[in-house]
Amino acid sequence: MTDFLSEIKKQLAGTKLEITKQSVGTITNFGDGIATISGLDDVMLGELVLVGKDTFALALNLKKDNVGVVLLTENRDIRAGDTVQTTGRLLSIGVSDDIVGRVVDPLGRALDGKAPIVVKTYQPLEKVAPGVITRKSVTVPLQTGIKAIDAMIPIGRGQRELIIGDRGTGKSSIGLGTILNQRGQNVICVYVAIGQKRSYVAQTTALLEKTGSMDYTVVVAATASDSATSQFLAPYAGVAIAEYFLKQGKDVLVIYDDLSKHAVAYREISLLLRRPSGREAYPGDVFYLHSRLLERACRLDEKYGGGSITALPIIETQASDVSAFIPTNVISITDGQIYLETDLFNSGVKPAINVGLSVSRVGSAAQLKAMKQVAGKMRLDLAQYRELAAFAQFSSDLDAKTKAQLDRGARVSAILNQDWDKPMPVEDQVAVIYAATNGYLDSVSLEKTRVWEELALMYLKADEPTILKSIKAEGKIIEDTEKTLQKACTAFNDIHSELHL
Amino acid sequence: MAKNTSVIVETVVPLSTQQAQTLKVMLKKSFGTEEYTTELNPEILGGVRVRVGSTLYDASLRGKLEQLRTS
Repeated sequence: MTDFLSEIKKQLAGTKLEITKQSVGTITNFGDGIATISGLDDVMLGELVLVGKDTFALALNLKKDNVGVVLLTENRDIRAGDTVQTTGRLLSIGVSDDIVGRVVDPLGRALDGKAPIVVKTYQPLEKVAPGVITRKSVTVPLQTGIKAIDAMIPIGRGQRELIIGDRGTGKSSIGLGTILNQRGQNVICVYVAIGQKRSYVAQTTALLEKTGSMDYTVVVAATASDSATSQFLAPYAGVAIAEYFLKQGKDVLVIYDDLSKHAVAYREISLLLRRPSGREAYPGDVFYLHSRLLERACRLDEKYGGGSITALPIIETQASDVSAFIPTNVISITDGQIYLETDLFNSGVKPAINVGLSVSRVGSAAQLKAMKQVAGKMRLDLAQYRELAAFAQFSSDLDAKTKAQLDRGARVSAILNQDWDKPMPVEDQVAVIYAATNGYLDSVSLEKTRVWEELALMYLKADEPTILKSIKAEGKIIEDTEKTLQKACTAFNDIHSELHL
Repeated sequence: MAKNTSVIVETVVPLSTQQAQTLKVMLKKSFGTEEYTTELNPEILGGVRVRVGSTLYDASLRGKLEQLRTS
């Protein structure tokens, strides 16, 4: 008995029970997940407030005589007159290394039916991006495994590259393909699904699990059936998780799929909060909404811990209108864009990248030397091909040189076609592009270029393994390798005469 | 903005005259007002809870139990 008493005394000894001072308010209006509160004088902007016993809300509007908050979780028991109190905390997400491989909501709660995430630290959702001094320019490539991108629109670690296009043009596929290709690259991936169908999120997670990519991936999901608040917070939660790994000096890739729906969710919140609306009914700060998010992508100097956050935001356009409000905003924020077109997609170009309109403003500094050696020639071949192809449609008689250029261009284009779920190592890409731009495919029939590609790579790996190894190790095509590669291509063409015209 | 300094005092049982007098003096000293409304609230279990404008001073038993639960 005395043991029990002393035990209780011991337990209570550490606790201090004091008279507390809190800032409180009363709900005057509630609806659509938005509450207006009177009182709450000491609330901070973006502070977490407690509504009732266990519902948290975010203070977004501080006005002269009321405070507008958005509820973070669904609660139908809230009534006008309920008490609200401040918590003194800013919105944050609990993270630890265990979060890798999990599917979470923007507040860090598990959505995959497994155990709750063990929290090590809390990362604030809103954080000022790293300063100029702590940053370093982009020099390390982020290989997407997609030939067209790695060769012509290279992405570097720490870059922000927009993927833009109409619905059904393969935007998400590029993002997912890039995640698949990060296996063994020492990159943590964060896939943020905003306003997507739940079935799509389940399907994507299953795919990532099947391919073993979940071992280095976190999925943050705010689906179409979640509240606008949840969708609004999801990208910030994603980047907060990324920053946790950045602090450890790791390279992180974040994919925001997609920011158009994010802007729509924010528009909904803003209109309900009765903020003035501007163009396309978006609020005045919709640019800042995305710029402050994408500014958090960075590459840190080694002095400040190193590491990087690469951001691949996705924007869905309506009827290829890139001059709409949100697309132009995000285009101007990012370091380049990958532009996907429905027409190309329908004519069988996959990935349906419009090479002429797509750019990467910083990635070329990070591109592998070997890729630079072959990509320059390819870009030229393709540019000439596009120009001639338009012209050649009208004339039947073409001189030999023009015809040769057309044939070359068609094969180089064909070689860029690739299934999205089959990313290719960069050394393989270099070898294939070298062969195409140096005319080793000119005599191959157009329909058989993919078979050629497949067989040739098998041949190179089996019979001439030194070539690919050398490209990988050296990072460039040295003279000896080039000669061996030329010989190998000729030898391969001799063996597989059935592929030729 | 003139701060709303309406004072609400919540207790379980009505305050005695002596207690009310002490409270008035304290309120006058701290907030410059003697006016307050009393409310009987059995939910706070014991002690007193004073709300001045949007600030809540919680010296109730319930508040202490809540603190114990969260600590």
